[in-house]
Amino acid sequence: MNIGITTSFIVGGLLLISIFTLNNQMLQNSANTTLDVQAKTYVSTITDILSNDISKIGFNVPQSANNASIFVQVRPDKFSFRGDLFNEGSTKVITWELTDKEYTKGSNPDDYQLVRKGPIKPGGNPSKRLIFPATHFDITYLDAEDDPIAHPQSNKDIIRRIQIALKCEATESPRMTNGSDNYSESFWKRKFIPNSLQFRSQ
Amino acid sequence: MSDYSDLLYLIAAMLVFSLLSMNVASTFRMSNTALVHSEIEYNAISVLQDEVEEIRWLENDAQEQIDSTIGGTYRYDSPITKTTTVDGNEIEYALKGNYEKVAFPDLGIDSYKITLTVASSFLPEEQRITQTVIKNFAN
Repeated sequence: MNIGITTSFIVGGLLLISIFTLNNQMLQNSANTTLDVQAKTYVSTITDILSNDISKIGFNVPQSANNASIFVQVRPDKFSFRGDLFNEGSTKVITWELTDKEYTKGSNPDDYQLVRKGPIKPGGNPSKRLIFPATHFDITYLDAEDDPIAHPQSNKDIIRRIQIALKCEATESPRMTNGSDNYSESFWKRKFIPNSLQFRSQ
Repeated sequence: MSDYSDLLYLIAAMLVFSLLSMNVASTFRMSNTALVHSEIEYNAISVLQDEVEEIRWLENDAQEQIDSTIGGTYRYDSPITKTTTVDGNEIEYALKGNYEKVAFPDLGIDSYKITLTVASSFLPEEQRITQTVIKNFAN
């Protein structure tokens, strides 16, 4: 083998390694972007539905009823309330809960099922369940002074504001070079002051 | 190698390849920056919406304080600092607002145009979030 061919092999080999590395990085970056957008889409979808639901808390519940009768259950990981989502003249119970069941449509072990139970259209099935993946869903109940309520379940009548923190992660991870999984994540936090909770007697 | 022209071809090929690599790296950086900025923006909008909710429920006695600081600073003596998490890091937002009295004659209300701005040191100036809300008080 003469020196020319040897040099060509070495240079060509180096070039080939560079091309493969670049290709690998492109694939990885593309996967990262896709998975990041996936996490953001989950957050965006959940927050759209959640914001719509919360704005209807207590809607069409008789004015004589207090806030305690609007809420069915209030826990840091679950809340259910009465409201007329579609202006049908009757209230339905809507429930949001981060369950301890794993979300199995992906490999992320931190994903749990965030379940929304309630109708999704006028006259819809009140037991209809929507399931989303979420890693963190925390509800804080606040009183009129904006202070957190320590035991909301026994103080439902003083709930005036609701703060929700949500974190979603991508269901899959691009395998990083160090071998560890790194799931893209998206976070959202918002405080709601629903109209119906402001004017009722305690 | 047969002659020096091969070497020149090789140098040209490597040059083209390195230019392509640089282009790709630059695209990566741009897409990553866009993703992080969009997340920060999304959270900045939440911060702004929180404040709009607060403004909606300002009670009537707040009007006196607004009047005494018109063009001034009720609630916004200094920027309100809010923190949220983006990609595992705490991001700080500075919320500012200012008031302008708006006249709606004969309606029996006092109205204020409140301009809110949310900024973050991680957002370019042109990506600051601004929203104007009208707050009415019965007079």
